[in-house]
Amino acid sequence: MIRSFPLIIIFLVAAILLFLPAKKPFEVTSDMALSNLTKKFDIQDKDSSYGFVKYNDKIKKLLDNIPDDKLTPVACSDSFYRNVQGVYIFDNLRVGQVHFVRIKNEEFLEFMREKEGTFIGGKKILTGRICELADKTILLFYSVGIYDLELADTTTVRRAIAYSEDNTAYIDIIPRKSLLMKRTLKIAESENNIHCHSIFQLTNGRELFLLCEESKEWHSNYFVKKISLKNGKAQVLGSCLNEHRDKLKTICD
Amino acid sequence: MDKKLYLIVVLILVLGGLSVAPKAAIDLSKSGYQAASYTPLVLSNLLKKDKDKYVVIDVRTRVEYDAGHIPGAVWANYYDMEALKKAAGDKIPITYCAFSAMRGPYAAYLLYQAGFKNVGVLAGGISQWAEDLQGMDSNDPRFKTVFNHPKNIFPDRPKSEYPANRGEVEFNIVATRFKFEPNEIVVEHGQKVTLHIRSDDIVHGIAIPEFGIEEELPPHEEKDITFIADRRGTFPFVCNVICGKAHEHASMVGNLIVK
Repeated sequence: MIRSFPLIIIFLVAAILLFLPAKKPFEVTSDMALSNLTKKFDIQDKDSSYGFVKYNDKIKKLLDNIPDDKLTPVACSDSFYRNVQGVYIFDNLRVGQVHFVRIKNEEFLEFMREKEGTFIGGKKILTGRICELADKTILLFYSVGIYDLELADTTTVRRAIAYSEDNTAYIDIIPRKSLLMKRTLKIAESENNIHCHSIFQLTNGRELFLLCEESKEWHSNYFVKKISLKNGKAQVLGSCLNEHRDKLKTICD
Repeated sequence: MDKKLYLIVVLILVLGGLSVAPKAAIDLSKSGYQAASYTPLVLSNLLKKDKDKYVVIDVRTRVEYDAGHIPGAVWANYYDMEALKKAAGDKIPITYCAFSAMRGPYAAYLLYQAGFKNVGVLAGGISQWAEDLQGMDSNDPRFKTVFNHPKNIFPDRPKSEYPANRGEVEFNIVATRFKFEPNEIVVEHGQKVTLHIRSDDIVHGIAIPEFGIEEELPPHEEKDITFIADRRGTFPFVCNVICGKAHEHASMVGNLIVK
């Protein structure tokens, strides 16, 4: 026992160091303009501009059937995109109704730059959204892909992103404590543009219901997915495929 | 048994140490040039307190400037050394463009090379000023938004005569935060120049506006840029993708020297 004593002390110190509440890579700050904590997010079932159907009544019923007391409140930012200069800009937030709003949090920007440093094949962050739970766990939604820089130069970067290729949608789960437990879950992939930033609700059992949007030539497709934040298991609950080459044709299952 | 346990514990200690160790500071000093940067609020307060000491120079196009600019800012094109020097006069120049990604830092570096040792850039450019402070002057009565970034912002240079048969040269350049290595390229007038450039850490970019070059540099991928060095002179190059805090990003510069 006396011989093992120093070993026990060293082991305890090592254990404390490993599980010390390490600093999160970034904290949510006021410039991210998160909404209030919400249990159910209102997502329109149809695109207001083009009439694309996003989800049907079957999905609506499934979501409505989960009672409020089984849901965890979440606060989310507006969706954002990354421009060619590496600036992250919110889609809808405006100052003075005119000037767009960017994310200024340097730790967040640094986190995203370093993340991009791990991608291969010219992939970049395209779009995303930041959410936070009441226990300060951060859910970072983002899509990664490649777009034509010349197109971004001749139109807008948002249009170039809409025509991007080889997209993958992810969630980073950044818990309040311990850097070691940060996880990344792959939500969806597409040869074209896809993003999965629209959350319906999150259950107390950490099952996330969200809406993925995929755009490719003449098609705007929507998938409602259920993802377990505990084990990453994903399931498509329903999809609506909208073909708009000529007259709009929608098929939902 | 004890030896194995000690090894395991040492491994755990190392892992634990790595997880809490602070990141090494990034060395900005390699090029010997460090631009200062000012947030909109800091600059606004500085100008109220000491407006005779500083001059804010809008280095975007004239059209952009007329649409809306920082109150009191003067205008000079980002690549026009003589106009920039005249605009700076005997004051400390602070430059800005739309985001202070390329044109603002480029102009600041030109001024530094012209002898202005305390140059600065406005962090975030006029878009951040517009967002944080909103107040702007405009020569356009229909002024709505400053975000009117034109597509072609390179200097319009006429084609030059250059000697033929000067051969070809190639250079390897590595971009990391916050330097290009090497940051000085020397070539002969008339040579065909190929730059093999890659980023070793994050997404960078390189812009050599006098030769119409602007290229994004994704990490770990080599890009080849070829052009003819058809004019003599010293031509700066900068990183045109914001890769850090404003003063860090603006300090990532180099020179192409054509002899």
